[in-house]
Amino acid sequence: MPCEMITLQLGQCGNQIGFEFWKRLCAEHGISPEGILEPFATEGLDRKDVFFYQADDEHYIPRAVLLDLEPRVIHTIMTSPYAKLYNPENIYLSKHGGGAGNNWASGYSQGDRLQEEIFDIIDREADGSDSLEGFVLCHSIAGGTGSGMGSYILERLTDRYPKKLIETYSVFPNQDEISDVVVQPYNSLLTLKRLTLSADCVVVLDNTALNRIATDRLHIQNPSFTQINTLVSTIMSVSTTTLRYPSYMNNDLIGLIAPLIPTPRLHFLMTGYTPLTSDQDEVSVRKTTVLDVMRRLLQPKNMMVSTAHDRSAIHCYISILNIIQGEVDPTQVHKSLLRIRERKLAHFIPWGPASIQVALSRKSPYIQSAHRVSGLMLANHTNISSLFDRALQQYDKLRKREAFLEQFRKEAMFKDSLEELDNSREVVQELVDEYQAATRPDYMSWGRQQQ
Amino acid sequence: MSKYKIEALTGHLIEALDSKDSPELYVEDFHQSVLKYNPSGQTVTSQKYLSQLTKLSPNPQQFTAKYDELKERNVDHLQHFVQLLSLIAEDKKLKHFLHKNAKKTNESKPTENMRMIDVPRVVNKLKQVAKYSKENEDKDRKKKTQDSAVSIFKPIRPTPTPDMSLDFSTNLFIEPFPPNLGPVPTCSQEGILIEDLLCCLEGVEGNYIVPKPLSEKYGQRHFIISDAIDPALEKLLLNILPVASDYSMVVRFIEEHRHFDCGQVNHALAAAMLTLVKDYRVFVTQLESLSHKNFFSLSKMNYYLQPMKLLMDILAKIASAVGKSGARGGKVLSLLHEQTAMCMGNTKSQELCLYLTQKACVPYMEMLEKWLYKGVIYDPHHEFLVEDNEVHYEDAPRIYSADYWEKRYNVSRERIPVFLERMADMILRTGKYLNVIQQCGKNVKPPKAEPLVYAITERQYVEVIETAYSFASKTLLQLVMEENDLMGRLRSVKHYFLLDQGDFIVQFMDSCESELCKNIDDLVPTRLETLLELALRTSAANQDPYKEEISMELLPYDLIFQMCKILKINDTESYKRLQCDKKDLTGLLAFSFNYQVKWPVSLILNFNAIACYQIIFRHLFYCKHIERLLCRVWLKNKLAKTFSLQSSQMYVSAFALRQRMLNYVQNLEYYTMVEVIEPNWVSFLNKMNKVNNIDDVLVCHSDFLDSCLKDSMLTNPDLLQNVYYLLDICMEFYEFIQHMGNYFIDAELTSMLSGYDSSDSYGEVADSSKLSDSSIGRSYIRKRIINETDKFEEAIAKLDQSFTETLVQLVEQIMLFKSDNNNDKLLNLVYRLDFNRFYNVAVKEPYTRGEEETSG
Repeated sequence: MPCEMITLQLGQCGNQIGFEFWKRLCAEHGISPEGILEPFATEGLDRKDVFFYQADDEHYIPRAVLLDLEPRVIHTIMTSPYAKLYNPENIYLSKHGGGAGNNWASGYSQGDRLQEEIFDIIDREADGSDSLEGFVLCHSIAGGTGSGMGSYILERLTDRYPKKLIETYSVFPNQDEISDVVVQPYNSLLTLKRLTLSADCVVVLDNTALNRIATDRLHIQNPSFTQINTLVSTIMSVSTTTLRYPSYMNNDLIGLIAPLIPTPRLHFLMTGYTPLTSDQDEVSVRKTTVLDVMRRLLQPKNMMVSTAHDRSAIHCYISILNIIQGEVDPTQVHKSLLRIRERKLAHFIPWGPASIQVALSRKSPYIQSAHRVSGLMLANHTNISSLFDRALQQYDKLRKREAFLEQFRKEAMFKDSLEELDNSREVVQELVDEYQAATRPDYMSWGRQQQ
Repeated sequence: MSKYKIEALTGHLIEALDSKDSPELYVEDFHQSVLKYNPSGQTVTSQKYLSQLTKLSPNPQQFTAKYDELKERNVDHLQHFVQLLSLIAEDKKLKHFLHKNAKKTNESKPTENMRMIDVPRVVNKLKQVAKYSKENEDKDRKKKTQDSAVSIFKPIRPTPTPDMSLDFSTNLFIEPFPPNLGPVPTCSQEGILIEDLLCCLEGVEGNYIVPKPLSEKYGQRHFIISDAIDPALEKLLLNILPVASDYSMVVRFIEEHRHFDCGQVNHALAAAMLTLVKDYRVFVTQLESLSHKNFFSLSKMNYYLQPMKLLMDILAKIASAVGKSGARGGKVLSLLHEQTAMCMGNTKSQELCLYLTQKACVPYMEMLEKWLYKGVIYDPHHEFLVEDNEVHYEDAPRIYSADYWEKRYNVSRERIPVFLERMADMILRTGKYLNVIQQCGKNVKPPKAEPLVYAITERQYVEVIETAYSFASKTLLQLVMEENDLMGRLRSVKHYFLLDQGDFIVQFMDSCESELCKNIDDLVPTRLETLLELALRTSAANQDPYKEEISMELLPYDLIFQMCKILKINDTESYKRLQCDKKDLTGLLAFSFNYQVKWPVSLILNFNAIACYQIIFRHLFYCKHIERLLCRVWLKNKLAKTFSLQSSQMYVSAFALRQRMLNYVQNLEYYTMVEVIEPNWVSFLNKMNKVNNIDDVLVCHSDFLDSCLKDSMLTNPDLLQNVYYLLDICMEFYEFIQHMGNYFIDAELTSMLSGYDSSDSYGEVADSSKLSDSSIGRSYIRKRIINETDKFEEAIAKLDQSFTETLVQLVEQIMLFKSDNNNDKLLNLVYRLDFNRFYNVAVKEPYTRGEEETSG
């Protein structure tokens, strides 16, 4: 069975969004919380085996590996109705259970120490699939386990599986509220380096934007983690929908990602989803046209990444993929594209052909939606660099004061020097520069000009 | 007339005219002009044309006489012919041309003044020869085969023995001369004449009234009456004699048409006439016995004969009409129907005509019933309006080709009785449908088989035919759509041939790609088959109930070759190119699916339809393959992110080119699949919901395939060649990158940038060597863009340049094509390919771009 994906969930955040993701996948494929195929779903034309494997005729088990250094979230999962869904051998909890203390270095070094046990699980999972296409990593970049151990695992995965794709769903910290994790800027920067160098595709989930969307668009005063994570799980499930409900095109992950990422380093994707409704307000079926959906997807307020306005460059789209679900007439899609083209609603790179790719996808027949048409945008936009720029600024602020570095110095990696931090800053700075350069027509010769 | 027939006839005509144009050109023209020159009020216009012609003719009387004669003979299409003539007469240029030509042919004749009346004759001849040459050929062939089989049973036609006939026996060469009745006194003359008349009425010559020999077979019989008869008696005599001459005509007709080869309809008509003639003869005998009594006179006889006069008159009219035209089968019925219609208002004669027509119709209607209720033709004399052109295949009907449906049965226009003309098409289809149902091994039981009887008003049999038709079409449609689940099968075909089920094809390509990249001669078909089977079972295709029907096929030519062959490209250069291509065909280009279809689904999914599906499939399959190759390049490239900034930037131009290629391939695929196939499929489904019969289904399905082929540029060789050239460049790019791969991994840029030679690297990456093997066969056709000595950047720049140039060319071609053909759909592709107007810039300065990159 081709194109299998193995999901790795790391840390508190990673496991929480992973949990929501699996909940959603089960619902879409008609699989009960115990992993049993519902009687109404036996005849489906969907591909369950991309994310699940079959233990017996009707028993489906997620290809998921749950990793954490502290037991809280995993315990919550194991007491939920979905406890029996997962393969217990795929759940790894650090024995001492102390967590990483929100420290990247701690997470990273624990990853190093535990790598054998962890890769036992991953290798077993990989061996169990016929033609593995890649890994999906869920984590946050701010904490300790997800960022630190996640970084370590990313590096090892690239070494061990150089031909496989590594896609991450990385949660970026909320900038609007003051974090209780003081070393967050360090953590973020160090993780960003690994995301740049080791991951093939990073779907950026910005907590700032997610919270803003929850309050502004869904009218939730104080959005809970679960509510935010539902949003995330929607994005995760829709972005994989063409794999699970095969149609003419985009039936493997590479075909989905490759056109989005022209140059290997610029692989940070923004997402947008419309229409957004919370589960509380039951909206009557509204007439949403394809044009509505595609136009709304281009509005910044629907983006799951909050980007600052940057005056130094005219930011533009490198590529766009819209996954449209529902009853869609292809001619409508074409008309919408023409309208967008005429009105120049989207600004594209000047150094190559770029267009709004559209993937029309089926919807799960088992989930009733209030909307006729819905759409997810995966976009490679140069403005994402502002997010990294912000991370750099915050890092510089802390670094200038040499604040909170003693925690890092405790670990072997930083014992002698803080070179790793400087190196990471350089990599991220280069990334920002490259994104800036990609807005210009001479991007092709940019690297050489630098010499 | 069917389309094929028209084409064939046009071909003959063109051949006759010594022209080398292709018939297709004219057939279109014909269709249009037929619509133009086929007004409804035919008689009125023909009158108009006739008067025009008469005016133009230098010898109007002769012309009118000829026209009347032809009309009397009920020559087919006389009106149309007159119309044609008048059009010719009006057209000076054509007239001149014909004039010249006619002179040429008639050079031996001394007649210098070519009269208008001769021209039509020549044209007439030409036309008839052209028109019937094919038919005759067919008939001859058929006859030959039949003759050899039935010759023993064919009765020998008796040589006419004039004395055994009921008609007068006359000697052609001796002018009869009745003796003079002058010496007999007037009062005795009457008795003698009555006796003579009674003889004449029974077809025996009298003493004083003798028949003249006939000038032609169905000419009016004239008598010579002896001189010196009392004028009063002579008047009466002349009143009665037409009955005798009518009788002569009728009897002649009956005797002539009793023979084997005149056909059932004529037999029936002759038989019906014979019964009437028998009555007539009984009547004559009664007259005779009356005449032996007293008080019988010629005037009395005339009086008694009045009703018989009417009868014989009508019979003779019919006999002469049918006899003169030599009509058989349907045409006889047409003539009878016209006669009957003409007698409207005269109850007695109409009844008579109706009786005759009904009788004559009986065998024809029986045939019709058999056809309408059983789908069987029993037509030993070739009278029925539907012809069976059965070709005996050795196998079951499943291998019938596409034209089976078109060609097996067709309506022969000449044999349709006028009153069935409107229903002919319906009749044809009814039987055809029933025939198919029977071939499926089903028993057909029409709800109620009402007998068909001729009536002057259409309503009755029209209703019967319509019920039979709706029953047949409904049954067959149900059989095909429900019992044989046509839509399910089409859906299944769509999964495989139109790649609607993407995961299946991904899986199949995953497992087969390395195998398919081999040369066609090195392929192991059984291995491919196993892999196909595996892919079918493990993908979502497993749910498809018809997955067993799919199989694979390796065709000995690639798609471009096939399309060029179909589109009849005779360009020698490209032909040569394609020829040598054949030897080095890779599995990938040769591969196609095949689909097993059983009768009756093979009626719709016939050979042609499957071939169309295969064409689309091969196109999509190759695009998918290129897309996958480019994705593989992407996978390789992803390592570049760990390189140092400077070194990785060396590759940016290659990345950009790959992106452009991917953009092209994916947009091409998207366009073909989502914007061409899917909307066409949806409209096909909508149409299929409304179909009433299997012919509609056939039309819908072929429309669907046609528009798919047309919109995906497959039918335009110029566009197609560029589309494939671009794909070739992608292929070459892939090979190049694969080849560089080893260096790439080491990121030893210095060694790589100094150029490369092929000897050491091809073997190293096992995977890539296989693939590059494959593509050599293809890319050597066109000159390879890259030279061995090119540096990395130069090579990329060259590829970039030719890719951009070709793409721009393609875009321009599409724009041009669009304005020529008004095909908006292709524009979608242009918009997709050039969404951010990148190539717009490139169009303006196509060459500077490439330079920019090399210099930068």
